[in-house]
Amino acid sequence: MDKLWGETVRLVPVREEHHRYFADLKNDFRTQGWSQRQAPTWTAERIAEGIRKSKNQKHGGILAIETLDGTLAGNINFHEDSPRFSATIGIITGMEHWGKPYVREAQELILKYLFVERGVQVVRLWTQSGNVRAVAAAGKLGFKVAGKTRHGCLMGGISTDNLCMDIVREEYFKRRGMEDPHPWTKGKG
Amino acid sequence: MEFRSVEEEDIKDIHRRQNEEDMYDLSAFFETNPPFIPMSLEQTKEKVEKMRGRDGSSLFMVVDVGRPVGMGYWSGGWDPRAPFLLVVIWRGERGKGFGAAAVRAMLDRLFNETVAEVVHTYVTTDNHEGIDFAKKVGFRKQGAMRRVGIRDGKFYDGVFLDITYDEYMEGLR
Repeated sequence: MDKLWGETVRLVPVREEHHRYFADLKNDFRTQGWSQRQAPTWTAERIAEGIRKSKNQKHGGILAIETLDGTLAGNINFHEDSPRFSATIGIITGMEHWGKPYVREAQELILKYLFVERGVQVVRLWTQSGNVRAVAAAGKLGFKVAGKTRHGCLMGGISTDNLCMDIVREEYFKRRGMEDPHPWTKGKG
Repeated sequence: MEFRSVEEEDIKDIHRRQNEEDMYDLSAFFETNPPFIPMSLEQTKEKVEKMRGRDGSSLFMVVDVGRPVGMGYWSGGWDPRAPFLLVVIWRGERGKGFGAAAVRAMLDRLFNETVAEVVHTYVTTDNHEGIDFAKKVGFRKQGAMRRVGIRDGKFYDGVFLDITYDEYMEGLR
C-alpha cells in the first residue's frame, strides 16, 4: 500500500472543515457510535480538541472518510492496543452513507493497513446487540462475536448487550483469498 | 474483611510483589506490557495514580484484621449500570476465603447501593485459577476476546464474565 486510498474512497487526516459534520454525527444518537447515549452537546471545537489529543497517539489515530469527489462520509478510528499485535477499530458515518460500497472499502483499507502493513494478529471492534445493522456489517467483513457484557447498553430504553467482535489474521487472509505475506509460526504452541 | 484506600506503604509492597511472586497477576491488573518486566517504585506509583485517577473508578486494598491481603479495582466510568470489578489476592494469601469474601462484599454494595444491573470482570485464559474462582463466586462466561497475549509460546484469550442483579439475588437464596 502506498496510501490509504481505494477505488472509491480515501482515508485522510482530519481537517478543520470536517469538525462540524463530525459534531453533528455525535449529536445524533443513531450515528453517535457509543453505547452510552452521551449528551448531544458536541461542537466543532470539542471535536477539534479530541482530534488534537488523538494526534499524540503513536500507534493509532482518526482519519476522515472522503469519497473521490471530496464528499465527507464520516471518520474511522484505530488504535493498536498492543503495537504490532492487536488493534481496535471504530467507524462513524452519516446515515446517507450507510450501506454504500465506499464505506465498506474504507474499512477494508484500514484492515489491510493493520494486517498487512502493521502485521497485527487480531483486530477488534465494539458494538451492541441491539445495533443489528452494525453487527451484520461487521459480519460481512469477517468479524465474529467474541464476547459480551450483558445489559451493558441502553438503547431507546431497551437493555442490550455490549459486544466485542474480532477477526484473527488467518481468517482475514483466507476470507479474501489472499496469501499471508508474513505468516506467524508463533502463538500456536 | 474490609476495604481501605491504597496508601504510601501499600505502594511499596505492591512494587515488591510486582517484582517478585505476584508479577504476572499485577502486570495484568495494571495492564503492563510486556508482563514479565519488573516495574520501578516510581512506575508502580504512576500505575496506581493512573488507575485511581480514572473517572468513576476506585482502587482499594483488601484487608483482613488490619493486614492487606490483596487489592481491588472498581470502575463505573464507562457505564455505572455495568461496572467492572477486579480483585487480586496476594499469592501467599489464597485459599483462605479472602477473595470470595471480597467479591461478595463488593457485589452486595454495587447491587444494593448503586445503579449497577450487571457487574462484569475479565480474566485471561492462561489464568485457570482466576477463571475457576470467578465462576465459583457466580460470574458466568460470556465469550472471549481472541489473542490478547502470548505465554509459553501460545496465544491466550481474554474471557468476559459477568453476573446480573437477578443472578446475584438468586445465588443468595
